[in-house]
Amino acid sequence: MKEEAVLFGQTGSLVGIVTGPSETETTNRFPAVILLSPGRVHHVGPYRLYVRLARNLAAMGLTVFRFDLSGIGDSGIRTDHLPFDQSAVIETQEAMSYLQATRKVDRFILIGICSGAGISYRTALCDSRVMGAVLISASINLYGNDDVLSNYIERCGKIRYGWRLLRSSRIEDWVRLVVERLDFKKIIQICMTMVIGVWYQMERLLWNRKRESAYINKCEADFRVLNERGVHLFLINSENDFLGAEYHNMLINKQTYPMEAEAELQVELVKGSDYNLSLNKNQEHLLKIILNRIQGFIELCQSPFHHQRNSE
Amino acid sequence: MVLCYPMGYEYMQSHRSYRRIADRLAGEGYPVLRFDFYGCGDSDGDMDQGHISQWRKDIETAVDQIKKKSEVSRVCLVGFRLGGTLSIMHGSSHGNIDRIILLDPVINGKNYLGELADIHESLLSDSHLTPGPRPKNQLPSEVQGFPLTDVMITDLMNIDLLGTVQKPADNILIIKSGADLAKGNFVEHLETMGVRLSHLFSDSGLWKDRQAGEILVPVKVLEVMASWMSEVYP
Repeated sequence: MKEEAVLFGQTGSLVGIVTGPSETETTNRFPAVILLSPGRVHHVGPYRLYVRLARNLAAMGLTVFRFDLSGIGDSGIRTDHLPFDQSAVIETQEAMSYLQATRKVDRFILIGICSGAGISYRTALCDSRVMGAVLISASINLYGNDDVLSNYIERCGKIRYGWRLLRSSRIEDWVRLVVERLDFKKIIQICMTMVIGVWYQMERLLWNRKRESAYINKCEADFRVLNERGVHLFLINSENDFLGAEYHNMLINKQTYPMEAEAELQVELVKGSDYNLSLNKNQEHLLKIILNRIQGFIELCQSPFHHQRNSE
Repeated sequence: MVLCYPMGYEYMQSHRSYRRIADRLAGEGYPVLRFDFYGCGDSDGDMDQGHISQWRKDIETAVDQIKKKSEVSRVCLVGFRLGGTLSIMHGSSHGNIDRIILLDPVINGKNYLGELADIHESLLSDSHLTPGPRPKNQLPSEVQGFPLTDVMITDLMNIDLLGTVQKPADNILIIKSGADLAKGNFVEHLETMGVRLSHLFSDSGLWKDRQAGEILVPVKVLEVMASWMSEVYP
């Protein structure tokens, strides 16, 4: 296995690490994997997950690239004032072009967490070199900084959050809140959340279905595009990600993704995990899921049916 | 200049800051090396393999590297939090460090572990997470997604910079961001050892409620670092 720090991109200001098999093990039959970090996390990924993932995938024979978007980690800043949603996709495409030129790979799997998942998804939509995407905690991030959608769904999600709080809280936690900690602020906060949630759900039922259906239609159209290209989507969600669950249930359902395409969209839940996958056991589980999924992609690449479909 | 990162989530929070500091100091003409400790960042090893004695050797390697590559004889260490602590420990044990810049160094490892345990409990509560069973009063085995091994806990328990005997460097700049440096009178302790101290208090509350990559050292702090360095290396 080899690891190399590189500079790439139009201005040579983007920094990334290529992890790959040694030259004797190299095969360009497999797609390369690109890892997109969430938020302002740099190329090691949350809790250094991407370092482990890259090294494990390289041991399986894949070339893996993890890099910093402009203004994050070790990369320089952009001077063209392009909005982040656009520049992130462009830079991901530059990463693919870099690997095409230097590692002779022409197909890619994108893996992203949170906003990284959103970038992966939007890049997959506009670039035919992407054959698959593993999207972790993606639902809320699929369509970037859409404030109208974000505000709307957040409001709809409050009741789900409130009920979940009640169900997941242990009796002793409530006793502690009331008796020991006298945390009336938190109790009132939870109750207000529930009340507001009920109001927003009513608002949703009465007035907002039309607005919601616009997003569902967009998602349906986008999934159709990916399905027709044979792009595989694998979504991984966290059990305690209440807001994400609300987005997921709205956007991804039988209407948006036809039954016959089920094989190319799969969803898995990391049980007991929060949105940030903060616990080590959740990170281990996530790593295992991703490695299994990528192993599946490799087997697919090797199947004659896949080669036939791609050449049609 | 050798930049020593903090550990765990503080590493994630401050990574971009270190790049800015490196850029600024390199722009002033100083050769700068920043590196990841063993088991951290892009370096080799798994996170649960990192421990203090290994990291102290890593600083030694980094100091040797920058001296060789840049043909310098004098080295300044820069460290936030545990990175600052390790810088002090290295300077004290090796006597080969000219200057040290510290930002909120960890003075007492036991207190630091207590802080980490509190942060971890908060995280569990806010995220409605249910970790495995743990006896009361036992320290957690992970904090904010990073493992806390028994070896690391023992190492941290043994850290007390007030027990430093040898002078870590002739000149030290301490930057305090609201974290409580006053406990144990670390500043007075350094002065009794004959260290020439400079202080800066930046009340920006750098660490509280900040996500990964969000900590950015204020421009004023960068300017003070640069001008403090230029006092001795004009």
